[in-house]
Amino acid sequence: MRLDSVGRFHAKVVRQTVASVNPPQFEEVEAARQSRKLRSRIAGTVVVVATVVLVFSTLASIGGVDPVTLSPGDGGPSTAIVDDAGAVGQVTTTITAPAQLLQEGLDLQREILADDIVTREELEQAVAAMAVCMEARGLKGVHWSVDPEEGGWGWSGGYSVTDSVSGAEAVSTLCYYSYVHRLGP
Amino acid sequence: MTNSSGSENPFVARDMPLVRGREPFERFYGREYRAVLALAYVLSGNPSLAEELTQDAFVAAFRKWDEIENPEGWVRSVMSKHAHSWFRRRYAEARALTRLGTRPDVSVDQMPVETAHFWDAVRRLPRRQAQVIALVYLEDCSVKDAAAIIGCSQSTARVHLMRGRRRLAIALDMEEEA
Repeated sequence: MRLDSVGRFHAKVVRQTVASVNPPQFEEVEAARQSRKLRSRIAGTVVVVATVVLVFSTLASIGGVDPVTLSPGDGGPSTAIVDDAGAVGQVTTTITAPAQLLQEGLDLQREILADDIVTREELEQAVAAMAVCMEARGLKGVHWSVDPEEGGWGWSGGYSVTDSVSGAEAVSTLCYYSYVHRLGP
Repeated sequence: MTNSSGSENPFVARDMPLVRGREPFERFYGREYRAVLALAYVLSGNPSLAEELTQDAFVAAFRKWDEIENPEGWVRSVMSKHAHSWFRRRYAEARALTRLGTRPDVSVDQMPVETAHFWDAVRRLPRRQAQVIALVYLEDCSVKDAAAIIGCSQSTARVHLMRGRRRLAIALDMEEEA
């Protein structure tokens, strides 16, 4: 069989599949998104904090950096309701993103991606270290897992870690700088 | 995308305007929704998630309506990035699940098994290759339009297309067309 012919046939099937779909009223879609906007912004703060802590703890676990020697940012305590994605209620943290971790996150990403592969063990170790660090700093109530079936808000993900592209994506999710990009449209 | 040549394929992208007048957003939304939904479906493999990704992209387009010059390409570009962004995808998935809990009907049907198998193989390609393949097959995009949507040069898009087709042909045990 010829690939292009088959591809165009299956494209046609998909078009037929969606042909009968009536677009929802945009006003309703927009209203639903607006109602989530504030919560998403608050939750986004948690993502940033969570990711920074992950970088923080991963740096510590990989490079032998003592977490205590890295200063937290200047912000005060923040509280977030994490309910947008089936997660777990209220979480509180007292740290914000230390600016120096931006570059360290980039450096870490570059370092881990040097061989284009992230093993599942590496990922599990990083997430476990992050979870411990997170809890120690008062960010509680989020279930962290690399398995899609288990994950709560924020850190579930199904990676085929033997594949270089998936590995790259996995590492990207570990780094603050990447997250900043991924949060914006 | 509309096809001014009158082809029966409403998704044809060859007339994608690069500069446009101030068309009402609602008209753009009504015209493009299904095509973007189809693209989201093949890139995500999940009808409910595809709806979330599509609606997110249109909401983003609405917010930038006065700024974007090529909304047809822009909305596809945003949706494609979100479909491959780990965070955005998980976020949209979770919202889709939440929505399913309160709204039993999903408006998009499941693909037939053989079609799903084909697009599964496309999604297993490297991200850019999968995007170009989807745009070319599903929307009859030219390499130039596909390059504009995924944000690379035409020559790069051509390489992604060539490599994607080669890998896909091997994965599906098919012949590449000349």
